[in-house]
Amino acid sequence: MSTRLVLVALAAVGAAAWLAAAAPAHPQAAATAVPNPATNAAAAAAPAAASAKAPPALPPVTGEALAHTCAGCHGTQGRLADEAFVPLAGMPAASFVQTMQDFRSGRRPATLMGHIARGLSDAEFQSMAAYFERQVPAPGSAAALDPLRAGTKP
Amino acid sequence: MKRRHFLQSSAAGVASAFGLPGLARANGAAGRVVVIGGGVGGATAAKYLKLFNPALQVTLIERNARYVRPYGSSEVLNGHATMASLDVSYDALRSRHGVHVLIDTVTGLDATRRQVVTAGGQRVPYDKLIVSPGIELMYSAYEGYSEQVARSAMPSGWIPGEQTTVLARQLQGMRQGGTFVLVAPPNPYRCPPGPYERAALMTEWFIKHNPTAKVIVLDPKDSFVTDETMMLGWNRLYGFNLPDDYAKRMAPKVELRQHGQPGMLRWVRAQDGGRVLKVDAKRMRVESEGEVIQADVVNIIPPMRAGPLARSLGLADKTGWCPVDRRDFASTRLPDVYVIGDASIADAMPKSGYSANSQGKTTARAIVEQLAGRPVPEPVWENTCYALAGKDYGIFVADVFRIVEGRIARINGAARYLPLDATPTQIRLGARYQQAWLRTFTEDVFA
Repeated sequence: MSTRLVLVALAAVGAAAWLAAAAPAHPQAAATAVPNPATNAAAAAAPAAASAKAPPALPPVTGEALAHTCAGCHGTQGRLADEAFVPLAGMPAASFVQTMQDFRSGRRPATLMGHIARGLSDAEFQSMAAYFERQVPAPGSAAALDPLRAGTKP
Repeated sequence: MKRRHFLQSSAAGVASAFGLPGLARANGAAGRVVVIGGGVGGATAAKYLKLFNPALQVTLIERNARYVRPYGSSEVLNGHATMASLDVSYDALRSRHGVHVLIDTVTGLDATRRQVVTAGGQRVPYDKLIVSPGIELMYSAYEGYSEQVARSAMPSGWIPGEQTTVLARQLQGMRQGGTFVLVAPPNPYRCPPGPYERAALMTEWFIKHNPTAKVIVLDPKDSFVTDETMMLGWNRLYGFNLPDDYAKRMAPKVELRQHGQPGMLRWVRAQDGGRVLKVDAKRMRVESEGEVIQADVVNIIPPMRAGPLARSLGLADKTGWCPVDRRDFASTRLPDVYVIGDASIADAMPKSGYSANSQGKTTARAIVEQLAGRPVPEPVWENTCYALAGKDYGIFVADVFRIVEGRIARINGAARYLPLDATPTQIRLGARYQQAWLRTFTEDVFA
């Protein structure tokens, strides 16, 4: 039992080493952007074509996991009770997708949402939208008063 | 009892490593996750672990009974916020999310038996351990500087606390026409725009309360995160003239003012002698490569490395930071241990609260999947830093990250900052959003 455990541990550490080897610790200096593999067809095709070193592809990120990246401003699960940012819980999926596309194209003025939207694909907008549509707005929030939102009907 | 737990968790570990979900579930235990460090990374991870799987047993071990938030803490210096307003309670993690919060000091780790040892004499067992140890300020980096000096004559206040109070008192009580020196840190460090926001907020305050004061930023770098947008704000608000190369580079994009009578704020970068060599706390002098400055108030933000716990547990490498597997932030040095937040080596991700929050969520997700014997999905992270060039002048950084060729990379195009041609409305809104973010972010982490 204990031998097996040690081997498992070593295997895990070995696999980890592929991604972690000798990284310079200067994150602030490494700010240049690379093409988004999710939105860039050429880049997406590349890993499949070659790279014997590459580990097996990970299952794709879910809409829920992407939605959690919004929560620092828009509230946990989009259920923001604060008035400052748009609460996303219960937002109709089509509105979410349209809004994000408009941010990405610049049609809708923004402070930083245009920058964020340019990191995400249409398919990702849709999977995030489906997640937010299912969430019930926080009680007492402006979103909770919106009859178009999920969970707001009596 | 202890032995049974140990065997159960070992079986779960083997099962998940071999991708045998049936075996992992067979023992019926959802798993025990211990989180060390109740800052942004640790608190987020603890909360989201419970959101993702309420059946998990989650213990958060933290030294202090309350958290003092560093983000927004420079606003104590200009009197916009109080020290008390920085205080955050762990009550919601306990009562709303069912996290067991243990106020105790970690003294060691038994990696073989998977137990965390505390000063209070506890051995806390875990199947998975998240360490979010934050930063350590390296006070001894400059000759003449020390933690002792930082507590009295020349505070740092980069980790908020008593030093913040001392610094606020010194700044607000500085003699008319006095000189405030802020020593910026070398890369990498916590909160990239922070030192420059602090300089801006104090300049704004001095213009009103001490109009003949001087503010000098000594910098061991030649550039900084948000430099163009921050300095554009300084140019508009404080009579700051940009260095020639910056002015030339920005001229096609935005109209800069050339102030015949420059304002009170100076930025001395490395190439102009900004690197500090030593300080003399008795005589309040700062010696840089370029000059010796007789100062009235000196704020030193020292070089940083991973928090002391990261090093004592053996999680840091010779760079002083903690190497991790990018997919789940598992330590490459100890099995079943994950390192998140400022202490981790995360490539293009800045050492910011938002990064730590984002990492807390992806690592919580990875652990939930691993304990259930399921594959871990591709992580995507985000970072948003709001900063102020003045109380109504908001700027920002906005990033989306993915793993590209084994490294964490920004993937949302070249633009990261407020555009140089931003409208006055965008700038004012940025400042409103910065204030709102302090609330919404704290809520997502702790409430």
